Amino acid sequence: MSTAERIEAARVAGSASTANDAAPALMARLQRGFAEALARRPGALREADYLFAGRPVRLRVVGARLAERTHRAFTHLRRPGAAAGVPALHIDVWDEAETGVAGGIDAEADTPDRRWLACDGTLIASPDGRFVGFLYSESVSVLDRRAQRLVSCRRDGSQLFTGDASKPFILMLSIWCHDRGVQVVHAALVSRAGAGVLIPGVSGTGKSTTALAAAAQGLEFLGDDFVGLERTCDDDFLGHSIYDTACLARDSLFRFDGIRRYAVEDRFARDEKPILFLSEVFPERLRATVPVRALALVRIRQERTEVRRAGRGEALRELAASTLHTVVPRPGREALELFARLVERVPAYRLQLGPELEDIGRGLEAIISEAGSADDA
Amino acid sequence: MPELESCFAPVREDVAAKVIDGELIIIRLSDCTYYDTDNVGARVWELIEGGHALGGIIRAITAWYGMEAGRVERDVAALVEQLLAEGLIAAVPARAIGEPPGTAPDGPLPAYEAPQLAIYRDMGSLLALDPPTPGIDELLFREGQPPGERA
Repeated sequence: MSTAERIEAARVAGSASTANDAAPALMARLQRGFAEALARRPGALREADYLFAGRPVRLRVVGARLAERTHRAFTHLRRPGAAAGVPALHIDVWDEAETGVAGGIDAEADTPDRRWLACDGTLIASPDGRFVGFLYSESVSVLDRRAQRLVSCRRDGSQLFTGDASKPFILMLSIWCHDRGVQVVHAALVSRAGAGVLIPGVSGTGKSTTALAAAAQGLEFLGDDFVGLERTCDDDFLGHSIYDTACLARDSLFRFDGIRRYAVEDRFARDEKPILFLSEVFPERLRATVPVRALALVRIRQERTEVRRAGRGEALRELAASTLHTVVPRPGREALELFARLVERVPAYRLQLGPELEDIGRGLEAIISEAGSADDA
Repeated sequence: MPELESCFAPVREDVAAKVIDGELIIIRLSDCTYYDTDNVGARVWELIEGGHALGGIIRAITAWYGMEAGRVERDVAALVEQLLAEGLIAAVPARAIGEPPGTAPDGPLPAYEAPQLAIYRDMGSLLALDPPTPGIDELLFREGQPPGERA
């Protein structure tokens, strides 16, 4: 069966599904589960307030080990409750193993709501789109987009996959960001003196190496893989950090002498990339939001690091190809318009990565300087 | 070859396209298959979007690039057939649109080259799971958005 035929068959199957209330029922069950976990283990509650894409978010975790790991990826976005304001999103999570409260992680395999395979799990949605859930082998999560509440249960907070530890709730947060006019893009983001360089690219192009090399050279870090992109009413573009993590393959990490001792390898992560929590490495170099002033299109394995100006078409192609194929839910027409406007507004550069990490930082510095000059002109 | 009187239009519900700096990027949203072409291909797409009949498009490209009509006709027809085969455009009833302008609307053009539509199916196929990864349009929820947030 061809790709198009498979898609059509899946569409027909999807539209024929019985619309029911599985996702809202799942949400109700998860809310009860969280309340029970909290009642059983009130001393294991860890809560904190954050600003996600500039919006206040309250994250409550029941389970000491899970809490430590979940809060950790958002450390740089933490704000005292009073400063954060009324939360635009409540996230409640509990650890099934530590609290003894079952989340039914294995129980929802046959929910007949609209459902899709995505990110090694199953995405479900209520017919009206209000409730979106993600069922995964180690967790279950539901986002109520009206109530702006995300509830999740993790099987065992002491054993998280790399993705769960380094990018918690990425799928649900992508939807929440979309609802706020923020597009999650597959890109790294660094800055200097508040001028951001967005580094889009499919996996393996060198985004993480570039972002980490930049941070090691004194630039500011906002993300190595997924960041938020928001167009303001002034037609400016803001880049929002989501996580303080960077994930590098072991051979790439080995190149970072002074940093690699910070790498965290989870029990589940033997075949995955180690995680660096940059709030623990360069706390002073983390930023939450910066204006995007340039795009850097990176390529690795050149003899030496080189910078040249890139065309807008080339930049749009790279930005669109990297994000449209990797972000879930898949962005559509609006995202392409957003990317097109971005490449019209900011200059793009091709950054060919050589073997010397110090040169990467210098290349990015040169891009920021030149983009700043173009801005001034 | 399609009739010279035929008109076509992008399949709006499944296609996002953008021309920037003479480069055309098209994404088939249902499976994220990704296409690009430039120069003549991008001009042809813009003329299709403008509602011009195939004959008018061929005459415009011939005039704009100072080329021999027969070659342009073959090249443009081949591109249109490919766009049709990929489901990116569809035949539509002819509209009362005049001929395209006799010169390119935005100045001198690069040298003529037969349009090539590059197709990137490799990553698109990753999304063609069963059922495929959803697009955001499939998860729309507009009710109850708080004031100040997007409609």
